[in-house]
Amino acid sequence: MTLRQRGDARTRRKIGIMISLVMVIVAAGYEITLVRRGFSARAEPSSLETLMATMARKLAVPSNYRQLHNPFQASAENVQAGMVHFADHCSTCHANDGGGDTLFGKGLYPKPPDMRKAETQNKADGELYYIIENGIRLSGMPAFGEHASTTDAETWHLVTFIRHLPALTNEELEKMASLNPKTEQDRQEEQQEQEFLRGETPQTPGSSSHHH
Amino acid sequence: MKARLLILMACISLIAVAALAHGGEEHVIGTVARVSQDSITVDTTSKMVTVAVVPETKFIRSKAAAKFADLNIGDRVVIHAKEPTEGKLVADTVEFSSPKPKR
Repeated sequence: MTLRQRGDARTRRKIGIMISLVMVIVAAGYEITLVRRGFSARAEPSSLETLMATMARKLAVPSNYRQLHNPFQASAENVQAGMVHFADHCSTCHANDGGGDTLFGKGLYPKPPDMRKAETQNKADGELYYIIENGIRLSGMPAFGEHASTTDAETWHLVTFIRHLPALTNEELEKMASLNPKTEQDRQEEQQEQEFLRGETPQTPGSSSHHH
Repeated sequence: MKARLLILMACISLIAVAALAHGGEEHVIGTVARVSQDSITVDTTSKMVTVAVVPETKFIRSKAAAKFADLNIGDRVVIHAKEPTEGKLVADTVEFSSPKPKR
């Protein structure tokens, strides 16, 4: 090795060390900020986290899925099929109207997106399908698909319904409310509330203000 | 491909883990004690509870859509409310019935 080659190698090593040092300092600064801010799920993700997460999600959807088109037409029947499924499986986090304003949705980190907005509506059919089937790592979105398929009719119906969300009517919202999963306690409370409204039960100390 | 994988790994490593939180919707049940332009005060027998009314609040009487103006003092009411800020309830739905007239 000549003197010149040895000098070049030394310079490259120095540059490598400098880059590594800068990366360590940036990472340490970010960690300190995170620790100081705490890890509450109530917080909104920072713009850096949002950027990173969006990039990661985009890269994580295989290109063959991005090119898929929904094989089902947006007929009333298919929208209805997606709506029934959505009310039963998705509304707990995403809300019946897709806005994400629910007990679980508000507590997630990151929060579920408002699916009526462009951020979701501009995604390709295949991207939505892939997300429903495979979930999103490190978020609250689970994988609902059991196999690596591209032909699950229920999932495609959900994609159809997600496209319909911006045009959801009050009647559809009411119907969805009746389709949401309920516990035995929910049903009993609902019954008691209706009996109270019909005047069948007097106002008792049980008729009060309580969390649900 | 290698670079793409590296970017993906770097992105994933920076995303925080998701977690569930608890909180809740408030059910206010009782009779209407007071009505103002933007709130309803309910006598729940144990205490008076005031719930704010917003343009998005839905009013229901006998399973049909109703209006805020249809609500009267003395009506039986079941309010499902959210608590966006501590101590302030905002009505999501207000379901009510009027007492039957005495003969």
